[in-house]
Amino acid sequence: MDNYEKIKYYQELISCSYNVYLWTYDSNVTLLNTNCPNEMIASDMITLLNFSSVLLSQAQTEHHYPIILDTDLGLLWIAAFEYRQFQLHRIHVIGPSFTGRNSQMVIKKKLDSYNISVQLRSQIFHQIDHVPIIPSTTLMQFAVMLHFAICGEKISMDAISFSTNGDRSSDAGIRLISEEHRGIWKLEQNFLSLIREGSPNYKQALDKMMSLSSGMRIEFNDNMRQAKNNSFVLLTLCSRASMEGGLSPSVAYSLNDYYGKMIEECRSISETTTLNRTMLEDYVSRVRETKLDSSISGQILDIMNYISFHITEKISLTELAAQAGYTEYYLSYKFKKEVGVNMNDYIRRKKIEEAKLLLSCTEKSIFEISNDLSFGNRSYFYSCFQKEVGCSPSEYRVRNHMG
Amino acid sequence: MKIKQQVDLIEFLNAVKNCNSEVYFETTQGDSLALGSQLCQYIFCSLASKPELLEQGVIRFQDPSDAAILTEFLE
Repeated sequence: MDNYEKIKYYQELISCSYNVYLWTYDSNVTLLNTNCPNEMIASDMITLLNFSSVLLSQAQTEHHYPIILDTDLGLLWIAAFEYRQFQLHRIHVIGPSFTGRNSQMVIKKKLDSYNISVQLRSQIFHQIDHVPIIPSTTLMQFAVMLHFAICGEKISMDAISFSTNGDRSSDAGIRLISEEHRGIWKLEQNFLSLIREGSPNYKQALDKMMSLSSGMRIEFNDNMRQAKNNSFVLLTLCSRASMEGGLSPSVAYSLNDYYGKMIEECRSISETTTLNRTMLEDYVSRVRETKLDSSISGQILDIMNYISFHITEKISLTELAAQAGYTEYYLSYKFKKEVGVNMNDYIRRKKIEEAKLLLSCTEKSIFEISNDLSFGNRSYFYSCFQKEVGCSPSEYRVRNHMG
Repeated sequence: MKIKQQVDLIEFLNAVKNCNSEVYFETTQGDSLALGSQLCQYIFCSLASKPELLEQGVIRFQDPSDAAILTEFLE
């Protein structure tokens, strides 16, 4: 089998599952042949969409690995390069495909906005429905296989690059606005730690967080899209924190999919807001139930929550025992039995966690942090920190400060 | 103006890119495709399977002087 026959055979193998076509170009990106019928799609979208320069520039790279050509329309093609005697000989393109049903819907929505006639619409929809949906990882696997069919070389998926036809505006660079985000990281950590604990107090933490930030600072010119994107971010953070809090990954991921679909179906800001509340309450109550099912009793969970909320204060065993309605001796015994650590060690560990957060997110001096967390004196704070973290507070700040 | 039969649509669209102003393809159904848009180009190319739609449609120029660029494709 020569190269062309091998590639043709490879494309036919893929066609058993996905209806894709093959285009072969010469080294000047001039179409030589295709098995794509004219009535299905334009004979040469690659040239039309200005991909020639993208292809030639990829062909000039050291390894000339395959590239996936992406378009604003959501249509994708795989392009791979055939070299003979160190010269580019052919470019083989396979496609088109969508990566998800959403891409099909996007193009259909765009068509709706054009208000085109029924006849034309049915013609286009018919064609769009014939474009296969291939998940992006599968598409990358196909690119790896195409490269092997051409070169006999096995490569990994991370060698595959993506490219658009370059009509978009240039990247303006990332504008660093860390000053404007100051404080959010700390509040977010508090919020997530309460979710991990299954604590109903997450609501206050969320309110504080939202008073500082209303999500990503990107102007989409579409409030609904912005609200949905923020809900997705919240959902992801919440599901991960819930798993860290003990919720089983299968439940957390199923809820993630369920709420993801619900978010996308929201039609108003009030719907996304209500859904956010329902979703958080659902996750947090499930984390709480998981913890209740475990060996930690409700009374001890309450004590742990109390410690979280009074972490800046000097917390005494007497105070906690009064809170729980137990004797000091019994509370210490029960805490150690259920949590696995001595209560004083637990409080100290929590204070050090808070100190780490303050060191990395604020400009407070180490002395202030030590005082804020009621360590009594600085040398005690230093020795606790060193024991728990393995370095001094100042070393930790140098390594982790976000300023 | 109408498009000649058997014209290579990709070559035609590539020539449209050289025009100074927008070029429209209008169907008898009242559709008006701005051929500078990627989506309209896609729609236009998909008409290859319905040659009667292509033959009946007309090309309209925002700037009439652009017609000179496309003469070889037009009747």
